[in-house]
Amino acid sequence: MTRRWRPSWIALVIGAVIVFLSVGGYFFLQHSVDQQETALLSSNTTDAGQTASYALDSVISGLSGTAGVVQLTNASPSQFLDYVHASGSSQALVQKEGDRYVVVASSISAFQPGEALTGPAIATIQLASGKRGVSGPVTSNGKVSDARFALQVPPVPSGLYIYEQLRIPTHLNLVTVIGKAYSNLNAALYGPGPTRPSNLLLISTKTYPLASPTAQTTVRIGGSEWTLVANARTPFVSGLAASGPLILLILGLFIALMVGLTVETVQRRHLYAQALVDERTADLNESLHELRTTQDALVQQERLSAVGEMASVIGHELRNPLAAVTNALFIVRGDLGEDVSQTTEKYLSMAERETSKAAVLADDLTAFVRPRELVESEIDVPDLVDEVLSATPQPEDVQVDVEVAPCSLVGDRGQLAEVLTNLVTNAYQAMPDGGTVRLGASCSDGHATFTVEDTGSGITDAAKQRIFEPFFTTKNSGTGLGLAIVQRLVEAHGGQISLENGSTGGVRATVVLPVKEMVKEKVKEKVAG
Amino acid sequence: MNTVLLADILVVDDEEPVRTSVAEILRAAGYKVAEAVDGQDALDLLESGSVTVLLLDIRMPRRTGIEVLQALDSPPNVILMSAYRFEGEDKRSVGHKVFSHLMKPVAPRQLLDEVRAAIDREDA
Repeated sequence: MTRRWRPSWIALVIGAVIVFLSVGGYFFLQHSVDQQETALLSSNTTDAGQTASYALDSVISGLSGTAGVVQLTNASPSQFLDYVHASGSSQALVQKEGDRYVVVASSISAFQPGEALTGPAIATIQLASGKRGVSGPVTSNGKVSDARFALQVPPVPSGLYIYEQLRIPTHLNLVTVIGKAYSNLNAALYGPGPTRPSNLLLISTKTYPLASPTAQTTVRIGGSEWTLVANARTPFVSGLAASGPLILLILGLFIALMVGLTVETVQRRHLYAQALVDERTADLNESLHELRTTQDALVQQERLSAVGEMASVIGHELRNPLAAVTNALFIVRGDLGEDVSQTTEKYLSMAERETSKAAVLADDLTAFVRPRELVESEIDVPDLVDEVLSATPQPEDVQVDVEVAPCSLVGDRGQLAEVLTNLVTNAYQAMPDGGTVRLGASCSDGHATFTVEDTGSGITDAAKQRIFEPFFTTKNSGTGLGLAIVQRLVEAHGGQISLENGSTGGVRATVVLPVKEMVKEKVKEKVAG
Repeated sequence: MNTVLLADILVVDDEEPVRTSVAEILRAAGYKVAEAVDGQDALDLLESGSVTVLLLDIRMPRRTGIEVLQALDSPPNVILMSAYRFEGEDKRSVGHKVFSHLMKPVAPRQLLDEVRAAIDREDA
């Protein structure tokens, strides 16, 4: 037996529940990990911002140092340059002249003394006006970036400014430059204003922009707000903690699969065992049924055999006493002569009548126990039917419809006549208030079929079961051997008889006999004889 | 054949009530009747004289009716009168020696008719 694989619903439900819990757990844990990651990134970024702030503020502090030297040297350009060169800074001393800012002295090669400042430098100087120190715009060409700082030399307004331009490579390993705070981060530091590539002072990785997730912190440098954007170089939450959700998910799916398969297996074994038990039970019931049927048949056979034996003994043993009584009655009647009393005549007749009945019973018993040998001849069916009907007295209020096809069969004429006579007599007796008997006979497909149907009250199912049993009768009189004998005679001819209720509600008896042909030698004998 | 006529009819039946009543009926009808109690008795009697009609039962002690017929080369007119059918092997072996077969109980009138017919055949 092949069956399409279809898992049981219980295994599916259990598997689905575990999968659901695993996936839920995965998302829950992943969310916690993400939150932790975000929090760690944020705090690291803030720390890094702080470091950046200190580092750049130190540039402004450097400006203050230079301002002190400028004051002490009464703004001597040469001494300014000496100091600046010694400190290694890229600074310029600038004098405001009207609307212009003119370079007095400079360690920045781009600015020559007497030259007026332009662009972002002016913007930076203007920011510094009246303040202790500021950071100006940041510019970048992607390779190098410039950060600008300025400070007005006190007393204010003196018209003297110190300008510093810090040039650094845009891509810079911040760990070496700024320190440990960046060891875990990729960071991008933008100058004041929006976070644009042109405003980018430096970035610690080649990848621009930084991949998500990023954190951002504001860094205050010299009164301006810079922006530090960072992401984790390697996730802060790592190892088992980071793999936890995935491990949970995989483990959950695995467990779901295993539990599902286990449940399925158990379920299948259960179903298989159940099917096996059902099958065996069915087999057992069938065997039991067969056994019962066989037993019933055996019991019935045994009973019939016992009945037959008894009937045989009675049938034969009755005959001698009956013969003696019959003879005795004949002798007595002869002795009494004509002149007998009414009482004597009444009881003598009764004795003769009852003896005759007993003789009929003996005949029936003998016929039932063992039908006599078949004496076969060719029988004309319509002829047989005529013979039977004319020999069976038809009750006055019974009509007989005959429908017989001209055909013939080979059989024992006497016995077949007895069969039909019995059935017709039964039909007559089934209609005490009159009715119609339909007698049909036809031959086809090697069989002759006789039907005798009455319009009586029919037969009950219970009676039908036993109707062919010897001594079973539905009539008030009769030995109950008639149909048993009929069945034996029909079967002796290789035929079958059945009884059922017909369309009119009466009984319909059907006899089917094989249409044999006379053996050729017999035919020859007949011709020769 | 120079034999003495034992009787018109020899009634052979081991059942005494049947035998005597049949004999009585036949005597009342005017026949000369002899009786035998079984097959052997019948054969013994037939050795001492002949009969016209032999009324013979089949199942009897010592010798059965069939054995009686087998023992007789040219039996008289035999009317078998038995509680059993005369068919099969029995009929094939001695059927040709039998005038007729009657199943007990036989109506006395039928018996008388049958005997008459047998005697008439002998006369003819």
